Amino acid sequence: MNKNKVRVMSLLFVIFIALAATPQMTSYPTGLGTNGNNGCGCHSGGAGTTTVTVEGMPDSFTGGESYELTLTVSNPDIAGGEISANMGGFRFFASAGTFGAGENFTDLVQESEGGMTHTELGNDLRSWNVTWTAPDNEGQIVEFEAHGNAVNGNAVIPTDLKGNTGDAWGTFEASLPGAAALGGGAILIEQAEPFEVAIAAITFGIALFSLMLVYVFYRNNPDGFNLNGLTEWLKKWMTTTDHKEVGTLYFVFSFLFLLIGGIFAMLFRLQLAVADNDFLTQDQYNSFFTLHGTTMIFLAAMPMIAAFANWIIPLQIGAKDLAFPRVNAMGFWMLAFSSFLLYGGVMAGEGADITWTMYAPFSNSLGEKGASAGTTLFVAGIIMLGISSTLSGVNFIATVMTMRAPGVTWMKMPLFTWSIFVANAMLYLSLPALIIGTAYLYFDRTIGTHFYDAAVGGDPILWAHLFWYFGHPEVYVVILPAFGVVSEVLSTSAKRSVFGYKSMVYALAGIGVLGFIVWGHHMLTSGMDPTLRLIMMLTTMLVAIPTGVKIFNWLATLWGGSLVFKTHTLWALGFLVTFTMGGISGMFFPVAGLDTHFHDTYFVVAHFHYVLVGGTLFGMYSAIYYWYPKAVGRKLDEKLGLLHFLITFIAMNGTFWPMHQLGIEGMPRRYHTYSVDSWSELNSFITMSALIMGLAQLILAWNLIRSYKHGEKCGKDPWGGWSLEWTTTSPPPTPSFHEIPTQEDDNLHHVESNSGGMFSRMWKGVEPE
Amino acid sequence: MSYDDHDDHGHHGSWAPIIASLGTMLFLYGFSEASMGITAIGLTILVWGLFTWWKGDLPFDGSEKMGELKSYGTPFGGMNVRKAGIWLFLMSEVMIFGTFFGAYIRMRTNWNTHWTLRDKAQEAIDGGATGTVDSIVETCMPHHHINVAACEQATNGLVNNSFWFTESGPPAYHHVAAEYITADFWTLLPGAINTFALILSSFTVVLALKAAKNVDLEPRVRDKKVRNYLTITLMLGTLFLILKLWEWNHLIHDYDFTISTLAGSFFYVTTGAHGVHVFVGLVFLTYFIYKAHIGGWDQNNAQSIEYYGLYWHFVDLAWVIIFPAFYLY
Ligand code: HEM
Ligand SMILES: [Cu+2]
Repeated sequence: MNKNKVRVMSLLFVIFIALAATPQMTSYPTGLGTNGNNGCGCHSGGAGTTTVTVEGMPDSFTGGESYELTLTVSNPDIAGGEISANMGGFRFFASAGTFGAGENFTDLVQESEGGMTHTELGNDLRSWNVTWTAPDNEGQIVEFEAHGNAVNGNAVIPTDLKGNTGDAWGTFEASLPGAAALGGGAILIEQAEPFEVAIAAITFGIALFSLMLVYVFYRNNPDGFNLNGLTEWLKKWMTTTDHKEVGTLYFVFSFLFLLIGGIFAMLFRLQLAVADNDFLTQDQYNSFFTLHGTTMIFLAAMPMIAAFANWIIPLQIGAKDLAFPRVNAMGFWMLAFSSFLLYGGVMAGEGADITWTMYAPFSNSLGEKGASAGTTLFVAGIIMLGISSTLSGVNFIATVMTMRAPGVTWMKMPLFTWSIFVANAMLYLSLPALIIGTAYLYFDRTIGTHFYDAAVGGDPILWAHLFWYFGHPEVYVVILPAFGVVSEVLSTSAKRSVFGYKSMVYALAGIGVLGFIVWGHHMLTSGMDPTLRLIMMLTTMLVAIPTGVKIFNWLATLWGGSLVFKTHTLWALGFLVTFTMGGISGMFFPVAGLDTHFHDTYFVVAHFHYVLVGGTLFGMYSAIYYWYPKAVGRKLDEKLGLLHFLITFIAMNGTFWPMHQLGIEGMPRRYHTYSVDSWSELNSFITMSALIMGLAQLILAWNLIRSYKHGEKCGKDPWGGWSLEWTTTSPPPTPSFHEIPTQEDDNLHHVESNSGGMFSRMWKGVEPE
Repeated sequence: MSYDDHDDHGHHGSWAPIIASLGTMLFLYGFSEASMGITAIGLTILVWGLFTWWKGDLPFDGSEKMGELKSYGTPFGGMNVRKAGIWLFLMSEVMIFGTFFGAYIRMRTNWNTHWTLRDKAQEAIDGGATGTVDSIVETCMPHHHINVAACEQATNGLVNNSFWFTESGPPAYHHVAAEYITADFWTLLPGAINTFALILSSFTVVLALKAAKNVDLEPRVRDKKVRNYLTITLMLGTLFLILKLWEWNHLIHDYDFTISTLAGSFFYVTTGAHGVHVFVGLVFLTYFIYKAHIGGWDQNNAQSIEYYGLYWHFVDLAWVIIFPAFYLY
């Protein structure tokens, strides 16, 4: 075997083992992590001959009735001995109904994580009584699961009468049908277990993805389809440092996670479709929307931006590659591997449930009432993401600062490059707050520090400050590149240079600076310092000014241009509409009085989806249609593109517009269900729209795959763009330029936009050329 | 770090990024699950990744073919791209330590308690207490320490014991490390020595750079000088870490000043993070010494030592701020 094969294979092997081990390690009764999920679960290992029995189970249950159950653990190898401390333990769960203590057992058993477990006192026993009250719905089957331990630390064994510190646990499982489910005439539709659906969907997704990889490999070179060729090909992708290839990696990764994040969204939208729904449990809902938010921001939006930054920045500034190609590759792989940590908990059914904002003091709480055990891994994943973004941030800034070709001066640099520059400057200066904040959180959860623990004087508000000091710049990190794309697309489509280029640059820079002093607007209701609150209210309102400048400049660019309606133009126009609406709803929040009403309602959800979906995602879609020909040498199908745009645009508004109303009516966000029947109607509408929007993205996926081989061929400059990326071949060579090019003036290629001044042109309605 | 990227921009790839990232992931995974085994495996793989990276760097001779690009245009025109990169990286390090520092000062000045106290003071005045908000706050927290009895009196009982203390005991506001450290000359000594050790080691890095760039020296002499200066740096750094650990041990065992108090959390995590920076610096230094040992440095590629030096000076500077803030204040 050659060296490559060994390396590729062994790396893949470790990755798959890691994938497989994640759920294994964590499906012990202990659950994930070291923090005491108490009960019999302070120990792991040692499954053996222990049996667990439960007596008192009926053949079928009657809705609402209580049953007294006796749970017993026994092990012939560890016979009774004398009653002693810590001789046994158990945990008992049911998929429905509620538990309580059995008669005379109130001190010996307790509730824990929705199930029952023994108390400190109760672990001197091997048999316990609990009551279980059946749920009202008799048409279902309730699943019972119990873990019992016949040693639990140091039971006394007969032979030497000394403490036995081993463990011996066993498991009990049973299904109990309701009366109606047992031939009472009602038709039983077995309830889908949403958690399994999610796992199955993800597994299916990964399998499909691997198959697709193999297929792509095959299509690239059908003759070379053998193992040697495959490892050679995989090696190329695993070791590449070329900016275009790393860009492609970023893109594929982000698209995959866009779909996974979408699956989560569909699942919890189903849960919210009607009032009092129980499709998802509260825990599942919590971890699903946590993963949804984190995935969409960190694993979908940012990598998609990084994909285009990687691909386009060196081409636009006329550089052969990024400043530090190896650091660039490292940034990608750190990101890719962090996803294992983020998702590790979900696979084990203990997904992090701390939301993407990870608010202390819940996120640093341990144990039964605390955040779920997967949170520790999740926080570790966030730290890794921080490392990844710092690496790529430094790299992009260094590239733009040092590697611009002749003619690409600061004030002639394409706006997309400017936007990436400002975004990364913001990112890498704000990330340290997140990295340190999450490190504190991580240490609180692992080695027993107390940064956020108010009980010893720690300060949960510190978390909010650190998070939002990063978090607000972060929302600009994801929107500015979309601004850049829209500027490029609109000027190319209108066949003229961007109106007010300089003011565009100053607006970007202004947002970059202001973005650092507004974080407190996310904390207006947190009980922060009132003086700071006032300052943050004012600065937040200021941000609207540079944002408004940009919007008017885009409109002025369209004014008098001769617009060509390509798919990317449609997305950019769609962006103008939806992003502006999101910006307007944003202006309600800085008013602290209003925010007290709006905060943590669906109004906020509507706001940030208008800016993130209607802004960032639409901008990135525009970029996909705009630059795909440059990367592949073929255009995407315009008809499919139009269909994709129309459906997504309408469904997007259908999904998020009604949320404004729900928010004003007071529907809180981050709750797994609601009991106000009058909200059901709008919510079902939202869910339907969301499903349509989700499915419509498959059109794009299909378009991307199909056009790779069958799209219309195109030359260097299919859209009439002027910046340097259009002067090289499609796809570009490696290194991306053989000769360092020189950039000419935009206005040589286009109608100059500001001759005669803004107003004279606007009022006269100048004819182009 | 400093001598990141000697890729020639031809396109052989590198295994280092994927290996090092996998190692980082396993390391964090093991640490989260409290599994020493996986943590160790992760660390090993991480180091393997680093070695792979260095193997590519060892022949670096400072030529453009080996990746030493020159910057053009404002603001760094003519400077090496790697140097711009290390400066940018250090900016984010400044923010890292700035965050540590800001969070610490917030704790030390009781910023968050302070203004709730102000609200309470105003409430007390509205209810008939004498004085101004400022004077009441001053009475309650002279020099940022809490005076429960005086405060209760000044606010007519409004701010009492339960405002300051929780059921599980007093918040550990006032037991900061400095109290123990400054108590006695002998406990202060290690920190003082450490400060000098780091400053001195910054100086020896400069000497190593000067020697490497000195074209008048015979190659054999030059290599030896570079190696020796770098070795002294390594030894000073090691001394720093040993004294630090000794000092931690002392604080934990003799004063019971542990990580589970608030001030302890800040102290150990901040000085620990600084220690990790020193340690990482030492790991990189071993590579530099090895390269000096095989005679790898000359005037054409010695700028790598300069870039390393920038990082090392930064670590030094961070200490110069941490020392008074955490050891003396
Ligand atoms: C005109 C500019 C904007 C203003 C004035 C604004 C203002 C605000 C305010 C005050 C909040 C907090 C509301 C609350 O929690 O009560 C908020 C939430 C949010 N905004 Fe904006 N925003 C603007 C633009 C954006 C942009 C461009 C993005 C991202 C692309 C964005 C993303 C978000 C997100 C993600 C949240 C929710 C954070 C959470 O999870 O709590 N916003 N916005
Ligand atoms: Cu914000």
